[in-house]
Amino acid sequence: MPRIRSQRPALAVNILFYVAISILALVVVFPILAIVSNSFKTYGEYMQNPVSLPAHPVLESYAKAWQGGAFAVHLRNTLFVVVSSVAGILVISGLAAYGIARLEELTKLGTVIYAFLVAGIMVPPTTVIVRVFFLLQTLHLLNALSGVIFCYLGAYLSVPVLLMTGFFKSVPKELFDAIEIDGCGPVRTFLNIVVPLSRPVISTVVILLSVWLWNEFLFPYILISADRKMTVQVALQNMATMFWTDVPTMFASVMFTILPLIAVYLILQRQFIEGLSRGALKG
Amino acid sequence: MKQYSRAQTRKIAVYLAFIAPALAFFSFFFVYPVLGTFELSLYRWDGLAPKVFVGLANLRFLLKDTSRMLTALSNTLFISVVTTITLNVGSLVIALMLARDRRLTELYKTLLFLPVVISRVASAIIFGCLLDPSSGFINYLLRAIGLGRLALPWLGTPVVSLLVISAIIIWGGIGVSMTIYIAGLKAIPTELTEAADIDGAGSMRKLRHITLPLLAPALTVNFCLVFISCLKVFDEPWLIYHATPPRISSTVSTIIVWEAFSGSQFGVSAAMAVLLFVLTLVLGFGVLFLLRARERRMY
Repeated sequence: MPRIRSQRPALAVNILFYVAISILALVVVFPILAIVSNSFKTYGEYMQNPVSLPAHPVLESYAKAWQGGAFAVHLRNTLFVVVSSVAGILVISGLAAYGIARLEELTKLGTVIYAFLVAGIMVPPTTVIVRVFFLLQTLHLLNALSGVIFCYLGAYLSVPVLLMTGFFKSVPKELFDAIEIDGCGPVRTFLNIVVPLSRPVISTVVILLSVWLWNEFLFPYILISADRKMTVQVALQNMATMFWTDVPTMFASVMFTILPLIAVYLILQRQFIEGLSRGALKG
Repeated sequence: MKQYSRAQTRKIAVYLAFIAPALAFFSFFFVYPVLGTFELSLYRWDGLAPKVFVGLANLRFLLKDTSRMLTALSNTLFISVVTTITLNVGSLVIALMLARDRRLTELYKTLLFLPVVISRVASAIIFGCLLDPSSGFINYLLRAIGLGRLALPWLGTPVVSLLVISAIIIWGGIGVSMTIYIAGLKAIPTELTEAADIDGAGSMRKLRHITLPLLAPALTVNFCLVFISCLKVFDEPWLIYHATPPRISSTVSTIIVWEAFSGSQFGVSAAMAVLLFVLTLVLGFGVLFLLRARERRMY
């Protein structure tokens, strides 16, 4: 096919493009570079010059942050909350989405339930947090990781239901009908056919929820006050109230909380970019 | 009323059972607290003594106490408008640069998307420390290059602290907005731009008359997305709160939490929450309808 002239940018345009986009990328990545660099300094060196690279990189701040923030405990708590919530939400919203997609073929009720579950997207979390606090208090679930998990199961359902219902509705219904005529009950159809079929949407939902819940602050901040039950985001906020002026230690603490996600992000870049954007788009 | 056969009724029952767990958790841990907030907004309550029914007095109190209420409201709206416009213009420009596949585009996308996985708490701390008036990176740099006059106490200056909050949200939001715009740009059929090329249209005219109109749906989505998420902004202002004088950077959401858990004014907090709920619905759908109407006018 003949190429049209203006589709081949001139050299000058090309150079301009690379200069401009490199500056933009640098501006965006710069805060991360700055915290990495300064986290390897001592407090004294930082106060003298926050801009230079560390002259003698030391792990002093990391040691202080690991101790002060008790990150071993907090990372474990967060991992527990995230893994169990993601698994829980995936199961109940996957079941619900399949139920809704099939129910909509039979009755209007399906659409009504769908609208109800998805409406949660529009509700700001600060609208519920006070009542959630008292709800967990009466259930004796304050200061318990399970309390936070239950709240996530309610508050983070909407987007997964939306994404998965959309996916199930895109599957031709004749497929499911044919399987059921073959004598496969709804439960077995779901487990043997639907679950393996929906691997792409499952991975989107898992990535989306993992990032959202790992970074969630409001719920654990309000619902947990015991030091040993905190998640990393709350622990990080706590560090900020104690060590705000000790910047290298703050930066080392930040590193402990962001490194796990960054590592997974760099391995699964494409899935992350696609999944997080699609989730936001539908949210 | 439609009649269902027995087999159909059975099927409906089975699928309802599929939905039941989600409905149960959603209703009990989410919808019930929302309704509870509406109820609580009609009472005076300090968290311990019995609740006293006061009707709309909490709301009237909020509307009269202009300093707190109006500051939080105007701060929130200011952050939302500034962030939404800047973020959308910025990520649209970036998307226009990255939509065509050239060498290294993937690397740039990876780098620009990186802040998306960083929590708002961490971002607030990173920016807070970098902008610290005495020991911060930015002010050190400004003084070093002789621009010491610009070395502001960023977080403690009215309006500037709100711009900092906007900057944090923009930083964390570029990745997603950019990706949505790139997807929108890639969906534009190349025949259209090629036809315009043949007609001799310059790149600015192509942008104005082909690309931007066809990008309207992506723009609508992005605008609403960012705007609604800004209306509920909590983490960033809360995190830099102790570094700023009170109220300079308070938002509706921080006031809700502050009134409840620090002021023990649960009724006032709930009234504020109801207000935020209504505000999000009205403004969210308002912006959506405006942009949708604009989309229709363009075709």
